[in-house]
Amino acid sequence: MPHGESWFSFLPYYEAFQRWISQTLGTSYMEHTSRLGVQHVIAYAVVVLFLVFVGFYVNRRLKSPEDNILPEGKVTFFGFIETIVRATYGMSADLMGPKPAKYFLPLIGACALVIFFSNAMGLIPGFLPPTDNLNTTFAMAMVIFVTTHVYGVKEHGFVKYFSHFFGPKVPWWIAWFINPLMFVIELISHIVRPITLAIRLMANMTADHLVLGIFVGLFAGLGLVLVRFNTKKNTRFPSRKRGLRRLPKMKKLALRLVSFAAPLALTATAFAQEAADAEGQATAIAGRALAAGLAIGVAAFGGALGQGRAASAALEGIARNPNASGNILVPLILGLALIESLVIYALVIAFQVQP
Amino acid sequence: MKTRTLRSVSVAALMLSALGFVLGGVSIGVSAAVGGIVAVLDAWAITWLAKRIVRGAGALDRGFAAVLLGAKLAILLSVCWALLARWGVDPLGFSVGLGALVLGMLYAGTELAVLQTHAQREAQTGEG
Repeated sequence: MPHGESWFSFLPYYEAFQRWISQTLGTSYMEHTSRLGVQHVIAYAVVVLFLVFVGFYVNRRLKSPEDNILPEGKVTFFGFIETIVRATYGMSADLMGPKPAKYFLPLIGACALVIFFSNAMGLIPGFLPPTDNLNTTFAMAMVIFVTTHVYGVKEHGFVKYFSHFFGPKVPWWIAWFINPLMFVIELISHIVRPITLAIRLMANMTADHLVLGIFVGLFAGLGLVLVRFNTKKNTRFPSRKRGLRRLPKMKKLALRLVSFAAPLALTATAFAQEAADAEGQATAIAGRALAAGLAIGVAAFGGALGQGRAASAALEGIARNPNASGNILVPLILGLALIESLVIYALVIAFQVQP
Repeated sequence: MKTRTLRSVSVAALMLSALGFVLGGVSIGVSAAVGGIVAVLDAWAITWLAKRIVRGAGALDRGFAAVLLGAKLAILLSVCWALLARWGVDPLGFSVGLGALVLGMLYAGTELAVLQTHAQREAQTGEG
């Protein structure tokens, strides 16, 4: 998927919508393209739509008080939303007091939920978080900026509210130059705040998404490696077996080894691709050498380790039950052959990748 | 098991080599044949070593078994590297031929499992 594109690009009439927006609102100066990007708009609309449904769901749950007398004994979606709302209210009440916190809860809570689910959207492969676009973050910051000052004027009156921009009351012989200076400083501070906050959230999400993309590209098979660790005993229900524990021992071993070798090949090709895209021949050669070395080095290490473990497990089984040696031999041979073939394939990949 | 494994791997190697000759030409075909030979030799070595480990389980130390396997792996990697880097074996054809190890082993394992199931059923039927 090209940079800046997501699954939303495959929506019907997406191109027509983007063309219409560009013709209506003009070209994008911020994105340095002839077309105005609409990915963040669609993503934001999806998040808002999702939160509307969440609102209906939570509202319906709250209307039946018999279900909400006792807290739920497990983590549920309702409990999760309740935790976010409680945390938002608690933080707001600590900062501004209970009354304004209750007044502002719909706004602050909505912002918190929108930002949370927008950021979380970036964790789904193929989706871009709407908050990695300055247009989104700046629009949200402007809403807060305007609301803050409107509420301030409404609560304290125009003169009293803006008089606090001049700073604290000081003797007249200091005030004549301090107060105008403080006014300018406060004014700049208030104007700059939404801009800096918008840039901060956008930069955080852009960097986060970029780093996540690089790591996913490098360790695309990491999920398979996690299979290795899914063998923990179910302590609550010892009779129930989870994950790989259901499988026979040698099948489990083969799965683990495949899971070990898959990331190696993917990592090597990822490095090779990075190297091919890199500017300059020296960087490309260094990248390819690194990819080749990493592929064969880690594959040989993992293969040797796997074979050692296979032999160890076989010997352990035979020591416990010598009559089972006939049954152990075949899976052992299969396991060893599969491990070795994976290592040799890693060698071939390393050979292809090397400069 | 040893005969069955070697037979399966050899047949798979022959088939893949023929496939290499037909689809990739002489260069790929020869490389596939070389890969097939390596696969058959590797299958033989693995079977031999696994039998030694299992039969000599009482006397053979675990660490020593691991060292034996590790040494075999190192030798195999060196041979493969020499074939690819020094003797100009085509990597693609070699990979195709080497696939005989996986295919042959899996076929032999499946065949054995089917035979064992049949034997168990017959034994149960005889008892019944």
